[in-house]
Amino acid sequence: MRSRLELSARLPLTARMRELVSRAFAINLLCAMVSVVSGCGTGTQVLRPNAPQIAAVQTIQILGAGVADFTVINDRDPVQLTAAQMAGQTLALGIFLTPMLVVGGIGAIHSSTMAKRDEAHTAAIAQNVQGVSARSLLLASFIGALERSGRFRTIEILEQEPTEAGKADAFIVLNLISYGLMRVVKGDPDSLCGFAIVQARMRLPSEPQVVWDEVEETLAHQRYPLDTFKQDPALTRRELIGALEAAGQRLAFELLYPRGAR
Amino acid sequence: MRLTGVAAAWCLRGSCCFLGMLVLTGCISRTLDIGYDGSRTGPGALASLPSRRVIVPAVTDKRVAADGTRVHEKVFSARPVPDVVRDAVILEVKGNGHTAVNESGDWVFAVDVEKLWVDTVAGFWTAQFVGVASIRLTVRDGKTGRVLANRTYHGVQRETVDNVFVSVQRALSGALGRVAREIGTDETLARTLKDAAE
Repeated sequence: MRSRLELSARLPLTARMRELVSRAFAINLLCAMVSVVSGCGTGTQVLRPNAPQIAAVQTIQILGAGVADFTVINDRDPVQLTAAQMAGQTLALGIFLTPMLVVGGIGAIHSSTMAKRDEAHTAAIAQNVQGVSARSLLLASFIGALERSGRFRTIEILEQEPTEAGKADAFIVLNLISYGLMRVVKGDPDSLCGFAIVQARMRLPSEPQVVWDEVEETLAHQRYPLDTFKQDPALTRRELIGALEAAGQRLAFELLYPRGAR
Repeated sequence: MRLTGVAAAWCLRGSCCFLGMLVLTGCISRTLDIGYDGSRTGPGALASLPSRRVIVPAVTDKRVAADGTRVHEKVFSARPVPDVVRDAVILEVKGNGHTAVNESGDWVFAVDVEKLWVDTVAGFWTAQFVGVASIRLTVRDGKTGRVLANRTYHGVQRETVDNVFVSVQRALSGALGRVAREIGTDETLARTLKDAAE
């Protein structure tokens, strides 16, 4: 039985090129599928409240959640993978590129080394943002935007999730998942910016399901080298506070200006 | 003989994968259809104003370190960047209940695009694209030509790579969508235009 390679070797050059490209496309597709299945893809579902749902809301209870600490993502992968996701990626690479164990081993050592480097960066810069209460800033920005609008009668901040439901027209949880500085430009030197990742969830007593479930990733538009952040505490605080406040304001706008209002 | 064939087949597969990696890492240039689909658009602060006729003239491309349709070292926009930005602004104007017209408008929304670019950051396991859009908006009275407002807006969108070109499109369109939404929800701009009308 002739191998597929022997058969393709008899084809004219253009046909072989076409076959090569189609195979490359198939591999890309497979890689993309593996990425999505293993959770590295960006197939997140966003659930946003609509205008009729918001129209009846007059009183809101808000809970600030999340125990995230300031972090620097410079040398690490931009997206942190779980062990299962790494195994999936290793499998994808291992099948087509090199033996799995080698890739997996190198990857694990690389990830660990880079994570340690980022820990050192975080420790060096964290002292610049001591006293910055990220969760408070986020909540203040969110609530401030809602209050300025004059759209809602009462906005109450809760310290913990209410045990009995139904006291307010809406219950919102803002979960600060992560915040800090993130590398966004590869260069010499690399550039970083302030970021905040916040999940907003809202429940209405009248509806059994969550009506708002969205993860807002806010990145500051100004970028600076890592050393600049290390040397300039005021700039670090300004960029971080800017990202947190922008995240709070954008999430507030989802309530103030829901889709389908007109 | 059979063993050699199998080894060669694996070698070919490796080459195909290498080609795929070239595509994934952006070493091969590509032209993409980039644009804002209006998914973020809806009534914002600008919708609080009475409906007006708005002229959005041709957008001026003031991007530094970018030429023509280039939006990445290896990625180009299928349509001129100023046209893409103009369409996004028009979508937001309409989404806020105003009418986009070519002449005899109440307001003129003159737009300069200062940034529309995507940056790549690759790690060992994953990679991300960060789309950045910055525009400068000057609002003029359609009749007198008086400048009513001068505002700068920024939009940044991060996308993790799953399919490289889809991620680039998402990052750029997302950044463009954010910047357009910034105009629609800009309470300062709405207040300024309201004061000017009174």
